[in-house]
Amino acid sequence: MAKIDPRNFLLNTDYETDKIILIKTGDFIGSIDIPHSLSFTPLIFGVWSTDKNFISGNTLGVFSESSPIPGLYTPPLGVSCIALEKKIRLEASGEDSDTQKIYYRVYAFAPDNIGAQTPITANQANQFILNTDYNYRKIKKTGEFTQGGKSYKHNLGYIPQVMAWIKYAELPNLPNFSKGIEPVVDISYFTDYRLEITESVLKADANFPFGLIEKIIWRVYYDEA
Amino acid sequence: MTKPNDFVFNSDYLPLAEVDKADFTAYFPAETFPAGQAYDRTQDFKVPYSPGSIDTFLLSLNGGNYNVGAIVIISVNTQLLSIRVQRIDQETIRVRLHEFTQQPGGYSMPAQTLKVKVSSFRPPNAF
Repeated sequence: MAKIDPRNFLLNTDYETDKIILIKTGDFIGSIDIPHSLSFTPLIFGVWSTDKNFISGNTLGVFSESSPIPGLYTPPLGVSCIALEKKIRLEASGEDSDTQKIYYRVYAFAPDNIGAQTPITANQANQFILNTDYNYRKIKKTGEFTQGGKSYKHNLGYIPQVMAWIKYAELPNLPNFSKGIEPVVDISYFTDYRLEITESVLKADANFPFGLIEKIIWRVYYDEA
Repeated sequence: MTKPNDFVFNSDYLPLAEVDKADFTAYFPAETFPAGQAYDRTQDFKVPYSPGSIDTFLLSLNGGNYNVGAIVIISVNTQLLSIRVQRIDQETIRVRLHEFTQQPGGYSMPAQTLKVKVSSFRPPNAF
């Protein structure tokens, strides 16, 4: 039997696809805590915009640098996001963050090891759930790194798509981060921690600050980046 | 209520559709900056946007491996700089290289090359 290349399919039931188990929408100025009723901390991602129709949007988690220096430069507007046990926290920073209304659409996956029931999200009776104008990623492997220097050999021969999150450790003095989950955003050559993806391997740098973080949660897809 | 992880595909849950994909390379030539003047350069790339989609990035700096993320932190001559990849409007993604240390300039900035892979996603008909 010929070997099937999952990249040749928009959807292929030989391979698992992503399932969105949470959708939260709304607006805020400054910051917002959005409650969720899930029995686990979800893997969040999403988009924010200053336009309610999202004609242009930006990725949640691409935040402004944390220490802007007055007179040196003006950091652009950014919105960080973190999922906690009972809520999702979004926080704007940078220019106009105290006055600018932010519109958000937050989505989430369930971590792979969660067997809990979750509310249905495909409840738009008059719209299509699937649209074959688009590709749906086929998951090759999901996993976690709990220490630096760990890797996963995918051996695909090309750069695959990846999604990844950091889960913070229990941090009693930092309740807004403790056990929280946020998308991987930073690539640091200064502190030497990066989540690298090559044509054969996904690898976490040895210097990743495990202790501050509990683990890196990742998904590698058959689909090419 | 169902258990989403029990299914390869489950029509109770919205899927995530890939709506766009793009590649581009930002090149910042070597420059010497006088003391007191902060390095701050931008380059814009035309990458169309599908309303409501989420841009995700893989970045490769100076020929190295690709990394997951959108902000690169580098150190040059004790200065800290970041390279941020961020959409600024429905047609444009901006790459901005700038320093954010307390004593700007006064050094030679080596050339930097950033290769960017963008993939954009959204539920096909959620909104």
